[in-house]
Amino acid sequence: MISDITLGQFFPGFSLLHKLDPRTKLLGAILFIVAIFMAKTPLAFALLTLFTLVLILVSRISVSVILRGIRPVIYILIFTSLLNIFMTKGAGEPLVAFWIVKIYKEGIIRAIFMTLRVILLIVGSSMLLTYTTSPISLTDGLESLLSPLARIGVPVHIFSMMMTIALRFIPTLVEETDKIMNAQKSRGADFASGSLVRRAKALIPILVPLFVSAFKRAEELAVAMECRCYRVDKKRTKLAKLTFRARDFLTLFVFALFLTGVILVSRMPASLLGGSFVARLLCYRI
Amino acid sequence: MEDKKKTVILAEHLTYVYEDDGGAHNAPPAVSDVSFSVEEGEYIAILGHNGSGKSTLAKLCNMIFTPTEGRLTVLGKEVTAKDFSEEDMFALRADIGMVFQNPDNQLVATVVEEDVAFGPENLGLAREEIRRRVNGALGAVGMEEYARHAPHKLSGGQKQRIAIAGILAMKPKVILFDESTSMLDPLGRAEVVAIMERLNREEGITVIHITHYMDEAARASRVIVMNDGRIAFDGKPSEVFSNVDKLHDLGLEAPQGVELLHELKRAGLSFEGHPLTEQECIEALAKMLGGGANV
Repeated sequence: MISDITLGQFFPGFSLLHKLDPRTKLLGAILFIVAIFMAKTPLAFALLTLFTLVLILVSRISVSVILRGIRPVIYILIFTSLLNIFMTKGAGEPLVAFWIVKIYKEGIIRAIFMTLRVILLIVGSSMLLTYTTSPISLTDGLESLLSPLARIGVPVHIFSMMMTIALRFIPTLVEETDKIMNAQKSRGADFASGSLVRRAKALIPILVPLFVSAFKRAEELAVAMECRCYRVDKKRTKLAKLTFRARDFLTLFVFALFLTGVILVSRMPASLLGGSFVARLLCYRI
Repeated sequence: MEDKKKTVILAEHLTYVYEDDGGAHNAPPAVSDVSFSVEEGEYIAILGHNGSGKSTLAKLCNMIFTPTEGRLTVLGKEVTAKDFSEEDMFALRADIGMVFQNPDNQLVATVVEEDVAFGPENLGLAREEIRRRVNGALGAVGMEEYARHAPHKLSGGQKQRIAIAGILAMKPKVILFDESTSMLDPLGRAEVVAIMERLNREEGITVIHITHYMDEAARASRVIVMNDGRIAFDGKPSEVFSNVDKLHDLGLEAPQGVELLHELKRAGLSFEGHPLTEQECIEALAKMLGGGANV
């Protein structure tokens, strides 16, 4: 049960997305997110969706995995969609008017595109980051990207070391939680029944030993690290070298082009496409 | 030939008292007035029951603790000297590695080779050199194929081998094993002990192994028995383990075979020499029984 929790959703592989430098993917994800929020017309959204589909194809991650990634946010999506549908006030006549409920065309459109936006956001960023980048290279990439901040006194290295250690110890502590739970269960502890308050209280005998042991581990680890000559204030070298290759520059160029495309398309007047009904629909500003 | 070898650790009247944290006053010293020396290339086992001060002694040697009194010289540098700086300490620590008891609590990184690289990275070595050392160290413990694995998925013995590789990558002259086998299953223990012996024999690394297991201690070239913060015995395993009754007084036992022969001796039988390992004890028994052929 509890050991089923996996951190991140990294799927090892050898696709182009897997091989890219983590910094490229981090920057690409930023560009992609900006593009999502710059998209204003159905045509721009079509472009975004197309681009996301290309990312999925390139990553070679199965569609079922991706759908599983969306599942946890479905309720939030439904809730916000309903809010948008019922709360948005449109300019024209409401489509449905019943008691105090008034549904406008704008509300429905907004709900549809908001949902699309969130889904694209989740799929796109997980495609680029969590699914195709191992936690350790993600940490390395973040440290490298943030390293200019070290010059103004931000302890970038300390944060990345803390992140690495956290990632390292999550499985160990999960395993330990499982052991403690079993130990308490064997003495008759009941975690599954009773009121919410009762169940929360039942967690205390798990949390206390877990914390005690985590502190003990922290101390032992600190001593072990010191014995291996770790010093916060001293410059360290690294085994793994992040190298920007041609493909990284190319990828960033494609992402930048894509962002520009989305912005331009979002501002394009319908007349440019001939001004027909379809053109006006595609360029309808949401 | 013996006197040509360098002394790696020289302890003179070492005493260490844990600072009491508001608890009982005048806590007895964990190590009191201990003097000994370790020569280069020795394979020493330190024995003693819980609280005998054996772990404290190791932590003194590795400069985790600073002696309350006495003089300690490690690899020719006096660490108790007034002008011994933090820089000196870190420089020295690369040469005297320590493998701890809990394999989980000494691995830092989420990938095996990244963890082995941790020490060399701290030393600020060049990337190519780190790569060479990581590969060499993983090879020395037979874990090359696990280089890209996550440490939490390995067995206890494998984790401990990774921890040893992490120390080896710093190219130490001395390795202290602080009860490094006590949390392992018999298979893992055997693996780790085999690595210790090989490092000592082939690489000439001085090994100091703190342990509860008598059969492990019997394989060392020298055994130090600690009791109440003092050295009770210091000698060859055959000498130390011949004092079975005295060991019992200290709450320790000799290896099983030795215990058996001791009981038989008390019953009136006699054996030649000082059999120590299981094999030697079997042979001694067989000889006594007159057969000796098929053992």
